[in-house]
Amino acid sequence: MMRPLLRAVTALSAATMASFALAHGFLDRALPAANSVVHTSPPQIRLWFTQRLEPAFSRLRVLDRSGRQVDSGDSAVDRADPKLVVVSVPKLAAGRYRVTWRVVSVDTHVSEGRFTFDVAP
Amino acid sequence: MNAFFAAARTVHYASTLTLFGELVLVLAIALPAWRDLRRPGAVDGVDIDCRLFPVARWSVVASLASGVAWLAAEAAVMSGLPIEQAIAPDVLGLVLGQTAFGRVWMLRFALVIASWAMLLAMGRSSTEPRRLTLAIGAAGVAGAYLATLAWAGHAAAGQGSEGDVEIVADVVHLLAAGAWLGALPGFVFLLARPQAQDVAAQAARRFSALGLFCVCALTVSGLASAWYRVGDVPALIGTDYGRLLLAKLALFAAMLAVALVNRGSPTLRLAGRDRIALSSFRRNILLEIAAGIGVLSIVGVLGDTIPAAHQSPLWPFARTLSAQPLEQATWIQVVVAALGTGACIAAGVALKGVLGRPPRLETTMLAGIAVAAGIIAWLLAVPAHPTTYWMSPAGYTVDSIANGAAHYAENCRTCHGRDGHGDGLARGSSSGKPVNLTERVPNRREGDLFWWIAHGIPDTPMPGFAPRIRDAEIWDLIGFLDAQSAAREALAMTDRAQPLAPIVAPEFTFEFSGRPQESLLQLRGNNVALLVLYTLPQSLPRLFELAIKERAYAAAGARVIAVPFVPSSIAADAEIPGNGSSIFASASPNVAAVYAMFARQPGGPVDDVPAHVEFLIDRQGYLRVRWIGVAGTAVGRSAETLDRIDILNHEPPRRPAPWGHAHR
Repeated sequence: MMRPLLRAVTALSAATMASFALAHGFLDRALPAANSVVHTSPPQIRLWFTQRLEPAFSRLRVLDRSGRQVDSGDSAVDRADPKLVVVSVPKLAAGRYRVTWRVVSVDTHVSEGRFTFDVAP
Repeated sequence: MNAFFAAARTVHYASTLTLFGELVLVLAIALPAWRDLRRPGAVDGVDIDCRLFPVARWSVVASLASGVAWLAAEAAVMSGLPIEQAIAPDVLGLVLGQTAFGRVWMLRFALVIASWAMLLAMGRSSTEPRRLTLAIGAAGVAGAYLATLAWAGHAAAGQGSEGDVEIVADVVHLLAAGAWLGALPGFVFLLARPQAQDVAAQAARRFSALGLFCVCALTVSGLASAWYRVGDVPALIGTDYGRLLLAKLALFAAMLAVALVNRGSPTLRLAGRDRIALSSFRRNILLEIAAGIGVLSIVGVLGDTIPAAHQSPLWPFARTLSAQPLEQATWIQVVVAALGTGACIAAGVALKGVLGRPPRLETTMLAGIAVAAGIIAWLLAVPAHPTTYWMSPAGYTVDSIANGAAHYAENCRTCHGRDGHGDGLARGSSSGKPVNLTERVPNRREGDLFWWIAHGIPDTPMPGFAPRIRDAEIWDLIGFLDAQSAAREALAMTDRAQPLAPIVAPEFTFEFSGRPQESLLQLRGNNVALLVLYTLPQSLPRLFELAIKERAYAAAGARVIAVPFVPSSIAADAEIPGNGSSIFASASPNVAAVYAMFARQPGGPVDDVPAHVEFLIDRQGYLRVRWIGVAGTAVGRSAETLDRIDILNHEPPRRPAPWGHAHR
């Protein structure tokens, strides 16, 4: 009767000394990378997140300098990798483009953000 | 909106726990206690049911209503629409049909309807064996209804075996809470009956045993969940989630204290049919319920709070505990180990006293634990700052490092020297000399570095640079300091893959003509990378060789990335006919600038950057092999390169280099 409690107490003292910190933030990486310059217009924009996503509510858009949407509107979570969101884009002219996203993870957390990249052939 | 969501969650948890707890109370406590008495003419379990089941039925109604509210609030959060628009059929249809949360919710809806049906059937059936079977079935369904809540929480996003442990911990936590806290309301009703005196002592004894088991299960499962969601003490103290969890633990401790009091004298006096004992027993249970409602309110808010492990904690104290003093002196290790063992023994003795009948408070043991803890804390304390446990938001990329290098040259070089050895022109004053960064930086937390760069170090010549240098730039500077320290270790790099002295390869993106942008991170787990930094015309023979043997490298699973040291107007691939374009990549000039830091040899001239250097980066993202200069024979170099690639390919898999930041 006492033993499970004793075990719990020793586990508590061990756990308080543990050091284990995950990186915060949701977006893991992207291609084209944030703030990068590409010479060839990319066929698609890919964003990898740290948690699995809900396809029904995760969306990615690409806007040009004037705020007009330039992607093909087919933003979707990759079937093979539920942490990856992809949207295809037609051939982009030179200039700066803004990627904006709003995704919901499977544990119902919402994340939003944006970054830019340049096309310079 | 958040208050509505938290309230819906709290009511849902409370009602779902009570539904399950009621049935556990009837099956495990009340009926057996009643049967134990075997009084002549005693009514059968029907009598108990009539009093306890209204609680269960109202729980179903409340659970259903709050479940609908939770669904509506969740739909609003997921869709980003205001709640009036979120409850439109198409949005709800999306949530219910196409999200993990929605599918769990539909299952739970079926389970609560099944529980309702079984409760109705119990009310209508007349024979005891049939009622008993239905009660057991209803308890099972209600248990499943409660346990499936685990899939609507943070554990739903867990992955692999860790995710399974999180889910199991949550399920155990929910069921244990249901059997203990959920059974309390019904227990109060049970004790309100006039014939309760007889059954009270029996029921109390049984409930006490069940409660003890549940408390153990709650503690173990709670620790497991906290491991994943909080992770360490700074997150517990420095984040909202952590502090809410501490408040929840305090209320749990209060519940436990009241339960222990109840376990003591009142239970003994109940057997003697003492009326006052019965009313004080009931009052204690009401106190436990009140604390339990507090716990559930916190749980309701926690459900919407980002887990502490995903946030940067703000440390509120001037000092913190660290293992560093342990590494520095052996006597500290001995003293801490001895005191720790002593404290654990004292804790065991104290616990035995508390759990004994009658319970005793061993004040000497508690004093001993306090003294031991105080001495250990004093020995292990090191100075700390609010940002000590912050993690850098910047990745370890060439752009971040190059940006940091620019800030270093402008602000730090005068004192700390070009290579960070503390040998700058401004040699400091009587209050201190500039520190050798390459020695100190690897042993310090990046949060501490952030604080010192931003605010300076009092009583030393080190000034603070905020707000002139912005936060993001300070993190870039720290990235550069890491690279600077790594560059010192890189002096020892050779053209062999062993001994293992891994240096994290800074991330960069590159583009081959006509193909989409790629990055070094993508190659992890798949390909070894051969990064060639070249200068024309010295590197031509080697580049020619690489272009010819391109297929051999591809077959060996290696990607060859050739980047010029100095971008020039002469296109390198124009010099090499045929397949040249498949090894020449265009990349930011920062790639060459940063990787040149790792290209110096010990004893070589300080300013000398070689004209040609090649790095092999293994599949975990570490720099492993380095060749400086163009080889005498191109064939010999190729053979060596392919040999090293083969060695790296056949190594057992290891943990990949940290992507978030260099180390620590």
